Amino acid sequence: MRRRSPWNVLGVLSIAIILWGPAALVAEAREVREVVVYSARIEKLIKPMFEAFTHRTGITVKYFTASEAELFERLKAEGVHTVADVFMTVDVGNLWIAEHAGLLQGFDSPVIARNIPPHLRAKDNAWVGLSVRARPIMYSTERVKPSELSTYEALGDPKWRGRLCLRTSRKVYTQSLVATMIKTLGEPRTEEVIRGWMKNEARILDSDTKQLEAIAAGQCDVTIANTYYLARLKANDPAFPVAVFWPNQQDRGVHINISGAGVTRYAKHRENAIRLIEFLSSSEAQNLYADGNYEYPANGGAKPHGFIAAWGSFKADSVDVAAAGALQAEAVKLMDRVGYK
Amino acid sequence: MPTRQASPAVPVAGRLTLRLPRDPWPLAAGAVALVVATPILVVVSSLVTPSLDIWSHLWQTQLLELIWNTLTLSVGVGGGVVLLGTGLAWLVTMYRFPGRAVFEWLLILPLAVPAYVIGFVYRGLFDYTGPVQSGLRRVLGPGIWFPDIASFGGVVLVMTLVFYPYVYLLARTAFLEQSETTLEAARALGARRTAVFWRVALPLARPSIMAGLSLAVMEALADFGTVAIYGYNTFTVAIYRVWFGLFNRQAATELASMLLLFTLAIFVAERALRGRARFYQTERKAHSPAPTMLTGWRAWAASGAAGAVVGVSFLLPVTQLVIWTVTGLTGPDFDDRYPGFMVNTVTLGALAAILAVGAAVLVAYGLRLSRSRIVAACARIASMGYALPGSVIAVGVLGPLAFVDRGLDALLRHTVGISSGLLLTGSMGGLVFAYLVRFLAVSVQTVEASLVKVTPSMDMAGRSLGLSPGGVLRRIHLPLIRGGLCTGAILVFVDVIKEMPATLLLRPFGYETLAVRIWQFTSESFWEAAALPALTIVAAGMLPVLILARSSVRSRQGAP
Amino acid sequence: MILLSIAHLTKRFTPHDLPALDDFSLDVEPGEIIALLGPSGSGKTTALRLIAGFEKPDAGVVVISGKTMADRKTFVPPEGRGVGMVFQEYALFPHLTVEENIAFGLRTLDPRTRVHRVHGMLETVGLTSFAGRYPHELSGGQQQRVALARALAPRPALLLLDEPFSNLDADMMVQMHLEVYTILRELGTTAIFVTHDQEEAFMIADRVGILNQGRLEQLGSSEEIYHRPATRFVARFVGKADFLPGRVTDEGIATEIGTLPNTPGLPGGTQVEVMIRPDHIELIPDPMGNAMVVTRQFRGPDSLLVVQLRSGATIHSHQPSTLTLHPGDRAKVVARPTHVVAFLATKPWL
Repeated sequence: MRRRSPWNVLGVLSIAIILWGPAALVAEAREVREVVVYSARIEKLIKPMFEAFTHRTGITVKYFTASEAELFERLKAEGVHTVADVFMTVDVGNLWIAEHAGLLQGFDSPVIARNIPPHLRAKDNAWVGLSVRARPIMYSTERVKPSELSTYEALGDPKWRGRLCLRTSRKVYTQSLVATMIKTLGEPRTEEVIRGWMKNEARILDSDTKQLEAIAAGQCDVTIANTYYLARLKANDPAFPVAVFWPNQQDRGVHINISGAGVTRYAKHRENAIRLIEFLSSSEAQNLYADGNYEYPANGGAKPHGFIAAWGSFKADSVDVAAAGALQAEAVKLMDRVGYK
Repeated sequence: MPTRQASPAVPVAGRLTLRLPRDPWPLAAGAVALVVATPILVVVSSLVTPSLDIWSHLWQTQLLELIWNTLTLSVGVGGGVVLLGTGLAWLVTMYRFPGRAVFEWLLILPLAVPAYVIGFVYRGLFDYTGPVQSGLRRVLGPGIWFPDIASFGGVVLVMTLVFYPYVYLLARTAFLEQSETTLEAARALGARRTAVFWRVALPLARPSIMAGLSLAVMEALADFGTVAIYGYNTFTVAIYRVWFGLFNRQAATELASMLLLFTLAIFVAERALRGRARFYQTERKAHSPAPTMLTGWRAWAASGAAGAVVGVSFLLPVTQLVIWTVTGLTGPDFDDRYPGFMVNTVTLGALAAILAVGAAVLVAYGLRLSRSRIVAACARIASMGYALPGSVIAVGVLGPLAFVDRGLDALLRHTVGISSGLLLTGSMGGLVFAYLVRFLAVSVQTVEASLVKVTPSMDMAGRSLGLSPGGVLRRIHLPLIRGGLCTGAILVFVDVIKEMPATLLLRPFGYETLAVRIWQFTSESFWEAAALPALTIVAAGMLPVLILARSSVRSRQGAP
Repeated sequence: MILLSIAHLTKRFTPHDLPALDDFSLDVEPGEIIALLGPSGSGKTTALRLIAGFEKPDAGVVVISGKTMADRKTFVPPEGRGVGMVFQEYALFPHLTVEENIAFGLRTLDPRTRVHRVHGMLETVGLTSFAGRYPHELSGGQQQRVALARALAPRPALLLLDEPFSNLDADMMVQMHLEVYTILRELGTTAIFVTHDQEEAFMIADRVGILNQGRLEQLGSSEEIYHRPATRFVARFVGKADFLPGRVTDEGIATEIGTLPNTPGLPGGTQVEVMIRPDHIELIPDPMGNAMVVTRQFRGPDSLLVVQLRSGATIHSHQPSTLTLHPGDRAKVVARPTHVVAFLATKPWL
């Protein structure tokens, strides 16, 4: 009878663990005609355009989805050996922090320079905005008249007491809004504004869709939300009793954010990565990219989806979107101080 | 048990002598425990260089509130699961009422449903815009008051419904293993039924109840999905806020270490409260208590209570998921990759379960054979991963894995000139290791609990009959602890298939599981689309949970 | 007043087989100690559990101190009967100290009386210095004493003991027999205890009841049971008994080993079986004797011999060990019975 030594057991365990490891990676041979994307934008929204890219260029696109911070950690840990060529996110914050952590590399591209306005990308194209999401005020068509609305700041007016719903400060959309406000208005004024919102007993919800549904159900009358959430609801039910109001048209304009991508520092297929991003910035792809989620194309030449185009054009905040990333930490701390959950 | 020969003592630094053990088991156990404890130690080590600016910011803004919320959540959920779990276990063990045999195992089913799924189902059903309140408003008018589900009460309620099975399972086993004569002795001394429960049965079941309670509270603390949905600010929420909002991973791990210390404090307090009292019978095992038949309205009340719990904690959410799946089935998600997702999910679960049980056996045996303080300490630290959120564990694992990879790569490049690239990072092994770190507590608890049944005299009897130590393990121990091993494997399996954040971060490239699918949809508020993968996870988890339930029902007849 | 009155108590566990207890009746005076003796499965534990209230009788009445505890219409649960019980495995509460265990049934007393009572009981059982210990820290004998103290602390009218000494080793057992007897007498507690050990029953009890397959075969003092067993079962159970065929004549009962006085007063001509105990038989070494020694069991102070008679029947004889008779020797059997117990013959011998 063999003595069941624990070393045997340990040995078997370790071999089992190690064997599984490379098995997954060995299959990924380094082919030339491919590009690997780490994307925080979900599969449903990226698949169509990747397929179009492959169709056009013959380059296969392989992608890995996870949430942004997790992708960031993974990129950092993988370091030189990463398989990622492109890092794609749904918000500028993580692109900015990736740039500053040295995980992205810039590149020259007249195509990008032509397609994407400078305030929607990094100076050296370390990251490039590919679609724009606007975050205007939305109101109940049954209980609010557009003439009552003007700016984000004005939502602190006492007449909105108990009628205001807001997204939680945990979500990056809110953090970007406040960050750009800090950039333009300065911290003290921004703090005043947020305090005003809180004084109105703003109801804090954890999803834009819930905010809009709350307005429809009568729980509140106004909120600040991303355009595409309303577009989805309206597409489902054209009679949905909520409408868009473009605030701050007399001054800085509506808050916008971008979703975009950058080439990773240790990309193994740099050229393919650049081609992919250039493709995504072209008018043709812009519609594929943006329309699937009712977003606005970053490329000024591309037309937005008919559905959202019907809401009219608006003056968008032309502040450098990088500010949203650079000042995100300040924004969070400010919201903590004010007690904005 | 291997015999212990005198081992050479090596004097090290004066009075401290290092005993070199001839006995490999404790060393192996210590090694495993240390390896598993490493990521946790990495997390705790972040406290060495505290981010004082972040801490002062937190102190000024929300630290007290966080601590209060986390404390009240622990107390609320702890109280809830003890009440519900113990009460149900007593009901089902000591009484007979219509449907009892079925309820006995149905009550374990919520284990198969991820907490965040029940969380978002309930939120969807009961908040202002949901069907319940909308319906009430339609019928009774718009001014009608309804409790806000996105509150402390709502979170505690949902978590209690999700986590009570831990206490229920363990308390039930404890009650079944109590000797009937002890309870009869209490009755002969004049104690009425309720007094027997409070003064004898409940105190005797205390260790099991506390074990279930600690699992439930640790899960509650580690949870992020549910508290986020309900807007309840706990330590875990702060961890994510600091990490993703302030881009400060170092500070986030410091917060996570605080969470660990909190858990440790709970453990220490409970052990200290126990004192010298023992909680198991010293005499021979007598038969299990015989249940009393309930009649009349009492019987129906009992069935009603059990049925209500099953309905609310399992049937209701699952029905909602089914409705969403069916109405959304025409959508684009259901495709031919689904079988692949299921296979991946189940493979990960099974692999992690087997390794977790193997590691638990090593650790439990090492503890039993060595009584070394160091091994015990390592084992306790290794078990604390259960209280940490999955993402923190993932990051804690990523660091060492990347370190090993880089080291190995450099070594190979210097010696043989080839680059090994990434071996552990982003490998299945790395992910399974993270699961081990996260869930070892579960398998160690169950294996330790079964090992208690194996007495030293059994070992000696086996040796005197000619068995080697390995034979003792195979022919005496294994059959006796088999039940505990299975329980541990099943619980780990179910936990792994439900796990989301660590899977997202560490999974191999191209390896998609059901939890990843759920994330895809919920991250963009496509709730209904998430129903199908959620339902599939429930289905995958139900089979093992049912096996667990049937085997635990059979233990009523006295089998080990 | 009768303390415990049981009438026609019957209990069936399975509907088709024989009842576990059948038509059991017993009256117990205050202060009496009764032993229920019988082999396993004889129903003695069932009887105890019925009295305590852990089982419901199928028929019969249990009355304690004048209150009906169980009959057709009523059933009082154990916690309401005021009956103390000591279990075979003691069933001490492992999470409570000795003191707390003893105090367990004293909830209704005010704290001062409670403390007084507990200390009194600790003294009675001699465990005062162990008050703060936990059960697992005590020896078997100590645990049993705690169990006894705990059951007696509430001063129950009746104490039931279920094979209380079976878990003790031989020395402990002897000591505990004496101690328990003394304590019970001192407190004047009425007690019923169940045992399969005949010596124990005879030593402690005032009256002994023999149970066989659910029926009470005889209830009486130890002497009565031993010397005047009512049935063959009782005769065999409480000591060695041999049965020899005999016939009633004018002189007495004629048997192979001599004529015995016709004390039962049976009519002439009756065919009987006479019970012979080993201590009734004297053996005189005689090479022409009517018996031959088959085996000899040396027991120290005495020996038990088995001798075979001319007819082939074997009987036992209890002899001092100074008598040197060995297997194969012949002896003369002389019968000197103190009582003659005769049962009607089950099979004719002539």
